[in-house]
Amino acid sequence: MKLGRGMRLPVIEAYGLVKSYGSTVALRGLNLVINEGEIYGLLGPNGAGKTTTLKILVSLLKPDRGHVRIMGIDLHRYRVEALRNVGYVPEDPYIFPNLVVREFLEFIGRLRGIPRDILKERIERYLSIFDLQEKERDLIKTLSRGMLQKLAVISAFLPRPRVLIMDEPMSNMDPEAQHVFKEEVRKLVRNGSTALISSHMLDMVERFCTRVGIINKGVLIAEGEVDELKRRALGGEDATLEEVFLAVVRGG
Amino acid sequence: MRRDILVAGILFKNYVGSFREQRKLLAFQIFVVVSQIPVVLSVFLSGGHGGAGILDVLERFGVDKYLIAALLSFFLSLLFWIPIIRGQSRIRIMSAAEYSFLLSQPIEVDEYVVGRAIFGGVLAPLVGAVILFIYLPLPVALLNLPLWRIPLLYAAFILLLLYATLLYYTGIVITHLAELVGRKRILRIVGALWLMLSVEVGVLTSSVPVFAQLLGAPVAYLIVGLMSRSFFPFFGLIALSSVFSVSLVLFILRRLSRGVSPEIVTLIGAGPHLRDKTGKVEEAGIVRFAEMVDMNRILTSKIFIDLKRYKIFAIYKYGVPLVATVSLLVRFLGDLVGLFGGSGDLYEFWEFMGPIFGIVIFITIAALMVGSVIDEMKCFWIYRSNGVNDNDIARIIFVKLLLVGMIAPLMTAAMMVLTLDPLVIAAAFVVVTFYVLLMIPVMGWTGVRWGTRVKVSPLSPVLYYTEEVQRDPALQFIMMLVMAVAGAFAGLQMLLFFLVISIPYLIFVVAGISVLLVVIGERILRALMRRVEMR
Repeated sequence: MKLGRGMRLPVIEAYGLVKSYGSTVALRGLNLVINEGEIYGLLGPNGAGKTTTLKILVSLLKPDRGHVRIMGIDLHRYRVEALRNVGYVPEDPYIFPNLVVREFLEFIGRLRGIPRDILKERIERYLSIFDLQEKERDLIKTLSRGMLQKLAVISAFLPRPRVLIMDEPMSNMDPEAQHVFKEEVRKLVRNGSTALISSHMLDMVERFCTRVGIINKGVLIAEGEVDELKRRALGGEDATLEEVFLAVVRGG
Repeated sequence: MRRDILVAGILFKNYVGSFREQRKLLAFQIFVVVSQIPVVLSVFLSGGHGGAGILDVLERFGVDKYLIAALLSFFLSLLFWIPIIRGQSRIRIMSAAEYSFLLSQPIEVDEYVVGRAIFGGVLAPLVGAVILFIYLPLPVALLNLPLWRIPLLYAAFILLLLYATLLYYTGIVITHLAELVGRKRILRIVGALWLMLSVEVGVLTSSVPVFAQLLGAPVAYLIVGLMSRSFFPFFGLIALSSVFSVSLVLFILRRLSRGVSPEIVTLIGAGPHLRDKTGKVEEAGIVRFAEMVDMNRILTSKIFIDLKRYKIFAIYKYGVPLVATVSLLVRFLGDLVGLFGGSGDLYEFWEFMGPIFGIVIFITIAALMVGSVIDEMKCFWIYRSNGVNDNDIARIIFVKLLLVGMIAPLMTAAMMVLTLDPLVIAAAFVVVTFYVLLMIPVMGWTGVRWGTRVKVSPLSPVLYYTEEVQRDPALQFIMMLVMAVAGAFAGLQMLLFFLVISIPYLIFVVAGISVLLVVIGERILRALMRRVEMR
């Protein structure tokens, strides 16, 4: 694909996604395109379809209709190849309870084919910056929710993926860990990764994300840079993202 | 008391309400009745010889109905003393909704405690309804007792379970009260003394001392009386006193619970409960995944760590040889003192017991099998988002199910060593293996459905208690269906066992079909994996 100057390659492409659970329609033809180098914040009220979208993007759910491409690879036809580019943090991470922290991270590293020396070095570093060094020999089932969240985030960072898809990644994290998390995402993005973050933490999204999408009742109802959304929704840049969010969602 | 029953009613309605609304209960009951026909057939095909064999062997051991009733009384009494000896001063519940919602309502703690005890006592027979349904009429069929005993047995058994629950709760409440006044240690010493004296006097006098069986006696004698050919003397009085005992313990529990604090109730959440325990693993016990290159080895090692830390391999390593050794010892010592008489009786007895052992062991590990799949499925996101092939996931789940399931045939065969008959040992092993392989797709399917749909606590010993399953009628139905299918297959397995004993070369046929079942089972799991969605 030949791109014009300043244009970025689309990394996540989802077109016409439809997903129903019985009689409940979660997604109604959702279109989402996220470009290389973006930190994209996906917002929406409860039940809007955020988690469903993210799960479809990592192939944990199959859409009833529509298709997804990750780094240009068709997710449905070449799932394993497409997912090799992805690091994922689920909404409520459940991790093998009987492995110890180090075993789990080594396990992930080997699944991703990270060379042994690099893997050890990265594990040391992430355990250190997320303050989990003392827990490396602990069984995962004995960790607190915040620690589990950190571990899930580390497992997503470990292969240095081109695409990060994260559902409420900072929930249960302490402020120090939240800071470390944001710094690491920025670092990965500077090195060519792209991040998609679903969150209800609007202040964080406002300051952290480069572009924001608001989803409601299974469709994307607004999208753009935060300032642009403010202008469009409320006619001024003085408004907060919270005010924009409420205006967009309430206004349908 | 009205409010206690109200609490029990709310808990009960929360548990079965949605199920009833779906009108599946009736369909399920009909299904269970139909599915048990092979079991009933197999019992009658054995012509009651198995029952006679059991009685003959028991009599040679000097075991009569009085001793059985005394032992049952002792075990019932033990239920009261166990929380005291262990120092268990908390009622542990699994349902977060029950903990946070019900306890925040304007009800007294004593009303909750008694209501929950009643709920537990009523729920126990409900959860084990299929097992009760299958096994309770067996003594009636085996000992040619009148059929009117069956409904009485059901009623007595429900009374027994209610009484057992009440005794257990009373033990917890007493321990809690002792803790509040700083006398828990003394109470534990009293409990330990009771246990030591019971065992010591029992061994010295070759009987169960009265003080050891006092608490459980009325209900225990009622049950054993109903299962024997002749009743105990004053059986009417025993029946009355058993109802009186249940009422009395209920009253005592109510009075004692007035002094307890709300902290008596604790929620078993995966985190806080387990964090009390140390979670460190020794450096030497940590598996070095980083050193592994081959994907097969990485995934298989992961499964092996899981099973090792769930102590599954300890059963293979120590449990099976221990059971086989004990079986051998019993056989040789029995022969030495002429306990078994002619080997024909023993052979008959064990021939009958073989498949029953297999089924009982299988039922015991069934939750473990489903739990092991749930464990993997709850972590399915790790496999899939890291690009692991679905066939590889299916394979490791199959291996996990097989390794857990094979405990049943190995344990059964180890018990059959007592017969010293290679045919019985081999038949038990092959037939129970066949049964396990037959059940693997069912267990796999259940685990996959559960693990991907709901937030259940994996490897919970009684998965059915979990809040999410209670809320989901579809899952309740699945659970019931699995139990019914397991029961139906169990009946077929008993028939197959008798058939193999009569026509020995069938062992090879069954073994051959078993190999085929391995292939089919793995294929079914592969198909399941391809369709997995994590809701």
